[in-house]
Amino acid sequence: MTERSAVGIVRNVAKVWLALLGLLALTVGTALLPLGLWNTVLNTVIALIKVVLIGLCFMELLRHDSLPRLMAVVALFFLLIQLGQTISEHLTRGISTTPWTPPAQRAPLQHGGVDAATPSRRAYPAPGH
Amino acid sequence: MSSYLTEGPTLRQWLTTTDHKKVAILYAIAITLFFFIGGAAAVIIRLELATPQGDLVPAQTYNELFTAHGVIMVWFFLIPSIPSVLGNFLIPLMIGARDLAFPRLNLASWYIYLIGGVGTLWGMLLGGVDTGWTFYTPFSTMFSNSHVIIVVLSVFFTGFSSILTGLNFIVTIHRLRAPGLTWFKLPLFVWAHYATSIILVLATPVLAMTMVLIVIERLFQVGIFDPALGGDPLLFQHLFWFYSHPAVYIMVLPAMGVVSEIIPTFARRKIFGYRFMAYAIMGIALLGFLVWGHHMFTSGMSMYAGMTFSLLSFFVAVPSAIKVFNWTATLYKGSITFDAPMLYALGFIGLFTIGGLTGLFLAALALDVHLTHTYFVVAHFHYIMVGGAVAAYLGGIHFWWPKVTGRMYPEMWARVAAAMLFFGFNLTFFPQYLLGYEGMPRRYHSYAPEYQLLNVLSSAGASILAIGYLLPLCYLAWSLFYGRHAPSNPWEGRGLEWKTLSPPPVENFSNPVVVHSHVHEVAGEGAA
Amino acid sequence: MSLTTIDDAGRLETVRLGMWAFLASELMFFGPLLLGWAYGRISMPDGFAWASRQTDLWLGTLNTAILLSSSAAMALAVQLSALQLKRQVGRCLLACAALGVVFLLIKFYEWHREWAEHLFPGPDFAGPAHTGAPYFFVVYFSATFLHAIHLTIGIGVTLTMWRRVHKSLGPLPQPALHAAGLYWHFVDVVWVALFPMLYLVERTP
Repeated sequence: MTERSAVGIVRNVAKVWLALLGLLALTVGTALLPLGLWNTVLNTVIALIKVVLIGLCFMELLRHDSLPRLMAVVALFFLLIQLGQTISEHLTRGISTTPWTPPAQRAPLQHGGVDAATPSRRAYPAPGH
Repeated sequence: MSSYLTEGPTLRQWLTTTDHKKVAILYAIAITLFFFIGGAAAVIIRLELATPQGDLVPAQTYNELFTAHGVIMVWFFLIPSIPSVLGNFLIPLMIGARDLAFPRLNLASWYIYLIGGVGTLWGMLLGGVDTGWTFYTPFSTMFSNSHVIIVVLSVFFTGFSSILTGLNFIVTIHRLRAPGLTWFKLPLFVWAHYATSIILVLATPVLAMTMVLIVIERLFQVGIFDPALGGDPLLFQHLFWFYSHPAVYIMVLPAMGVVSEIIPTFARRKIFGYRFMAYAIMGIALLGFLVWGHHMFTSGMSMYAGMTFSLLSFFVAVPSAIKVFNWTATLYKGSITFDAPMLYALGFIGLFTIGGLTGLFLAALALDVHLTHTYFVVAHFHYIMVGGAVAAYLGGIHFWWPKVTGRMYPEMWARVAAAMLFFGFNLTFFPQYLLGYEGMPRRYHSYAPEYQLLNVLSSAGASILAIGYLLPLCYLAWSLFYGRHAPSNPWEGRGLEWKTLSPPPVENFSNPVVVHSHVHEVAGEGAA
Repeated sequence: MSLTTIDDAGRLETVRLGMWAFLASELMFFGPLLLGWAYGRISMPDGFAWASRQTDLWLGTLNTAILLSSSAAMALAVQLSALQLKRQVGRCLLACAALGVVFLLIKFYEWHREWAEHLFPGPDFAGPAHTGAPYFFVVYFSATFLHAIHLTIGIGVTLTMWRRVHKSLGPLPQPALHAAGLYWHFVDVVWVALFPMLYLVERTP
């Protein structure tokens, strides 16, 4: 991947840099089109490509030492576990409820609590003061 | 050759040392202090619960006491106990290295820990926190009038000491093993610390960010977790338990590592099923990340997620059982002696098994509805953390005491203390299973009179436990000055750490270490 | 000592491994924000879309380009250091740090405008309450602020490295340069993720 001359190095980095800027233009461009959810999908895919480019070319994940690769993959794996399990819990929460689920589970509660037994909120200065 | 204890003896030299052995001692002193502070809170809790009426302390103080007990014991004693003391001291010795990969980082992590600890104590002295160690929102952010922010920030800060320790261990175990010491020749203690380090590095930052989000919500009164302001309280529980469930494995995996060293030594047998023991350690670490939702079954979470989390929680029983059976199989036909470390290790197997099996009760969705928020849960996790992790820590302290200090502890007193702790522990916490099963809720300073008998038994057990913990403090301190001088290898142990002097020289070994065969068979050359 | 000590090449690999373990930890540190964002995006899509449109697309894009360029400069510095090109390495490091400072200045200007437009969540929030818009801005301000702290540390580290390179007489400190580079690229990676999350949710309704 890397040529060991200064010119080669500069050329390689410049290629990656241009690719990253191109991807940035692409993601901003598609964001201006009204695609709804597909905007988020496209943004995510392009961001992932950029991350992979930076990881492989700038952070030298392709070097001969394999342990950093392992670290990166393991971290991504556990990040996905966290996101995946939590989001799937969130998405399936309303399908059917357990007997002890409060009826107003998903609806926003009124400010200040539900009944007299609820402890009072702390008096705090409003933000901006 | 001079031992590490005589080299650089001034206080200043101790406080600026980068020797992993000395940093381990610094940690030992600090966590012992926190253990007795956290223990003092527990003493008042048990005194209050001796009578059904809330007569000793007001409800608010009681809340602050169990919060102090939880916060201090979890983050300032249990999490750093075995890794930062025994792991720090022994990992380089066990792999034939001179020090950890980043010695200065090691010292930095002790200072970070200390600053976090002092911050927490400061918060407690200002008036304490009443949220429980779990800091559940929106109570902690919108309702509690106690000193949440200072304590939460201290916990945040302390997290970085965990992360740095874990990082150091991972790199050390990967990069500094002696020539010939391949992965499947490593002692199980090192395997256990490797798995623990992965959890430390990957789970702790999630807690750190969660603590930051608490501070943001509390300071600016914005909705992240508060449903009234558009947040989701379950989001907090997901984040908190994503760390705090694996945190249980941070406590118990190193304990398993200690027990896996003690049992083969005193049974004079090779550990049974070494490879499966290593796989089981890694399996527990992995599964530990997937089961956090079992703390949330009655929180109104999705019941489909509940079923998944329940099933995954049951899977944890498989590698745990492999370990228990293999320790037991190691004992079979062994020529066993009951020295104090062995008493702790045997106690660990029994108490861990009880704690683990009652964990299955709580992992069952329907049964959890009845048992959660009761004393059953309190008993369950104390069996794992106190009966398991603390017992193993004390066992390890006794086992490696001759190596660390160069002195033998008084065997008779040590056996008395181990027996007292086992008896006192069961008397304290077994009644709590019954109380929980009968429906006594946690976290109240008063209770219905029919629960009194079992509570009195529990408080009586706690007083035995208290004496049992003070005893080692006294005789171990005594042995520092008057104990018999220890030989290099008093237990005929087979690990590399026994091949060097007691206490080890500053450089750990005098000759380069090369390992030819399995550490548990005939360990390396290079004796001092 | 002849106990498992490591030579220079070994030291580089050890430091790289240590830094990657740290970055794995950092990645998990930003995880809850990602999760909080995903929660809001799924359960309050309209408020999120509205709130995202209040951010300044052009300043955000410009800042992304600046940070990507700074990363390129850092990559050049690290890779050129293998050739011992002291002067060029020093210049790349300076350029990298300077681009970081420009990013921060633009970010401060953005925050200032958003504060003036009452986009900071609270009682006098300018947008529709209870739709997810305040929640979006909690995520926005937390994430960009934490990123800015990381970037500030990164600038400090980079300038320290520049001083070391500038003053060094012998060979360049490769392990330290690599570690600083990895940290900088990571901060860049975080921004690459944050940019579409915060600026591009639904620009055109």
